[in-house]
Amino acid sequence: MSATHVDSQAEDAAANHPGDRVYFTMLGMLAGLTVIEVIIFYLTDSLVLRVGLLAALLLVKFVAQIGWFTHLRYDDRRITLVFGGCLFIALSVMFATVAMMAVDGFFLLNEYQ
Amino acid sequence: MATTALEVQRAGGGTTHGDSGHGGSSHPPTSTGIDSKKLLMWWFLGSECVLFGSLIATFMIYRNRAQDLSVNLQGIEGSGLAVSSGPFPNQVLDQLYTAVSAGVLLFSSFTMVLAVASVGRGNIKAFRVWTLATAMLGAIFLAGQYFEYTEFFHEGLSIQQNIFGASFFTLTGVHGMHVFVGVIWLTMLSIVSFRGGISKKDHTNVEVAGLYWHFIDIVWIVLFTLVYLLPYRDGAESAEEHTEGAMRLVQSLPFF
Repeated sequence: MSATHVDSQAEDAAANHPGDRVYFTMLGMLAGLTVIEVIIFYLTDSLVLRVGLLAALLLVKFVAQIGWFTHLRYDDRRITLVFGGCLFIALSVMFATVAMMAVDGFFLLNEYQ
Repeated sequence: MATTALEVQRAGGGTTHGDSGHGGSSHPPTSTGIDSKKLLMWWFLGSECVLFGSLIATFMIYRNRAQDLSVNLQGIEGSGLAVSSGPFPNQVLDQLYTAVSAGVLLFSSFTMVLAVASVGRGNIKAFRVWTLATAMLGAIFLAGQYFEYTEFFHEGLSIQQNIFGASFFTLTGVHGMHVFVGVIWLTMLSIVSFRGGISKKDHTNVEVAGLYWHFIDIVWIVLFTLVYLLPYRDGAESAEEHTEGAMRLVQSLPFF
């Protein structure tokens, strides 16, 4: 690989990343959302409302971080496919395990009563 | 004979589709057109998703079970089962303190992204500053976690105390170990750059380190909500009520 080719790669990669202004905006947004999360924790009594809002904020923060800070939205779509596929497997295993144990564990505990 | 895209890449030339994964005009000579180091890191992060997914699932199953076990195992003489006891999550977790820790890690993601941008522009001085700042913020996070753990120990919560302690320390401890590895990695990068070993052409190497760092921040975003902010049941009494309520709900289902 020639030095010119390597330099051009680095320039391409850097050129396709967003500017510092976008990073500042993302930082402000993520910090703001974290503060809102803490406020929700202390001020919301309703369980459904609290869980719903926190889940929504978690999703927004996750997408913002993965999309902009890791540059996934500027990368090749196959990378999104790789990571998205693994994430899908992880979430499937997670939800299946929690669902299974929620039922099995529940009856196991009640055997002692 | 027509020249294939792969042959052009092998010859060191660029093609018009994709670059190192950024949609530019040239890319490294790989059959996928994506830099191998970067692709490998994404596969690794994918496998990390499964690791943390399993740990999070375990934590979610056990997060309120310390109270359940406290109710269900008490008074069973000769059962050979240890009676679970507190402290329970609501008695030890400090959300405000952890919010500050989360802010520190969030800010470190910002400094990391600036470090990657700096090396892309060939500004090595700025790269050193931002990389060192990121490593330092990571170290501050670890110090905060150490302080939190010692507080919990003083309040009686250890990895052996109850099932909440076991799952809490395992999950946050594995995350802390990842942060520690990241701090070492960034410190090494800084040392190499001070010795003149980092230049604009190392953009991908720095970006790969950045991907790892952002991932551990993403994991903490998830843990902060699931471990610290989602509500826990208060104690043994409410756990008993919850168990009875849940039992009635399950028995009301048509297939039971």
